[in-house]
Amino acid sequence: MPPEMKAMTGASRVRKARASRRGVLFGLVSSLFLLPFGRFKRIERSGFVERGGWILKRSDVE
Amino acid sequence: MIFSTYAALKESGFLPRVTVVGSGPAGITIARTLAKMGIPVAIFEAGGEDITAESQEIYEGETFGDPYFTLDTTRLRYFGGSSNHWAGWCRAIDAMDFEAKHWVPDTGWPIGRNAIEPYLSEVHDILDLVPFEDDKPITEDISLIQLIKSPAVRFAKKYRSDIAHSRNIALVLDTYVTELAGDGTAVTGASILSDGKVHDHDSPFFVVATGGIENSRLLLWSNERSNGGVVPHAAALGRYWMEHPQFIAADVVLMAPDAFPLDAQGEAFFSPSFNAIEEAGILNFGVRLIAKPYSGTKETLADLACFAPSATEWLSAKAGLHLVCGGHVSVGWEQAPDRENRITLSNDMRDVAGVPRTELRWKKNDIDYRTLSEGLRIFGRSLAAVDAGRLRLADWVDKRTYPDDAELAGHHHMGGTRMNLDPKRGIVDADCKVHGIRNLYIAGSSVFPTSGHANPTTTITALALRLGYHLASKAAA
Repeated sequence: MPPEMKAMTGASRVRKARASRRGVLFGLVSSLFLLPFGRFKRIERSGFVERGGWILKRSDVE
Repeated sequence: MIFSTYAALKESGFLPRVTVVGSGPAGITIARTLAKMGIPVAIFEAGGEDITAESQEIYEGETFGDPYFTLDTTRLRYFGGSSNHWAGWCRAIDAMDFEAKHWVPDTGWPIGRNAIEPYLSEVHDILDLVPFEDDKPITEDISLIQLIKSPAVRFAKKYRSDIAHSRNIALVLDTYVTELAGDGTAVTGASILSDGKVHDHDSPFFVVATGGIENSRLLLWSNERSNGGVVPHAAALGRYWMEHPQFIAADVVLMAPDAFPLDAQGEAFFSPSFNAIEEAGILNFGVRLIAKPYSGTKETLADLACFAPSATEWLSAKAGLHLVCGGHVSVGWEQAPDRENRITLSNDMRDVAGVPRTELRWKKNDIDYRTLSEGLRIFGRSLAAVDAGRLRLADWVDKRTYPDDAELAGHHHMGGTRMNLDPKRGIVDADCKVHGIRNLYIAGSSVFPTSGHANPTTTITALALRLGYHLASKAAA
């Protein structure tokens, strides 16, 4: 069904509201799974070195 | 309805409002959408029900520049088009792929991802997909992404019965549209070779959906024959052609086989954030991590020991506990739009119908190399940052000597009739209508101004649905 037809029936508004609630829930749940990886783990280039083609943490070679 | 000749279509009395040239995923999707909305549509398929050497031979052409596949094997010319040999890998291109990148010329779409999102649920049904999942960031630079390995719908097999029983679709097989005629404002007809005879065909609307190489070829030839009457603004016609170059370009050791969730084939996929590619001055890329057995990983660990003994000790201990703890890294990336990467018509070679054969000029440029090289480093740093593993670049990467016996590219043919609001810089507008021509539309990845890194079929199908609904309102008027 094209979007303009959905708008006419009001179905898109209902679906959007549901999707939005689902989105919030999904975000909360998925953020828990992501914690081990550190969701916004910052990458400082100065913390890495290259040796023989390997991309290493500076601490790997010090 | 399915006909085997154009004469049979004429005898049936069926009068299409829209004529679609090509029966691949784009052509069939548009035709089915129009039929659903009550619009009679004809599909002209140049090949038959099955592959034949004679039909494939029409696709022969020459390539210049970087090593590339032979043109008669990289696409299929029969009912269902290239859906007959695609791998089924699906992902819609990312929201950031639609945005202009100030660091790379000629990037940006006139539409955003929101233009295709309303159609993605229908794309799921068409391509038999599992639900899409959100990306999962592992660092600020890299996310674990979903790339759906679908059953690879063969459009002819799945939709043959629908088409055969539809009152609004007339599929005509073995019917080669050799050229369109136009007067600079509209397409006025098509020349068709069917059953050894040439026919003139008329239709209120035309959609060219013959694939990412053939779309350009048909329009270049039609334009030459009609003195610019089919594509009056042709500056970009055939140009900015793109592929997804892809190579195995690194090895990794992983701290554990479950460092990342692997799919049934032992693979995981990753892509960068907008900020990461902006900072590096590169374009989008996709990383495919392919797990490999322990025996191969031992050699990689031995190499790492030469450079990072402490990290190796820790990783070796981990590796001893698991059977799978390493992998290859394949990178497929978004090419920078380059007007010199282009399709032209051969001056001296023609097919059996007298249509000039394709010449394809294609090279990877400096931005392309940087996307590969910096992209690998971005991924390698993220892998190390979260202590998921360590990455080693393949020797050839820093030498910039692409292997010529490897994957090369994804068989993804994009560009040539790119979308841009400016007729000097594009061939179609935001509705996929050819600039200056009121009744000619183009479907397929030839309209992509840029490609992102994702396999194109999902986006092609979403754009085809969008065009189908748009045309339905036009054709009904």
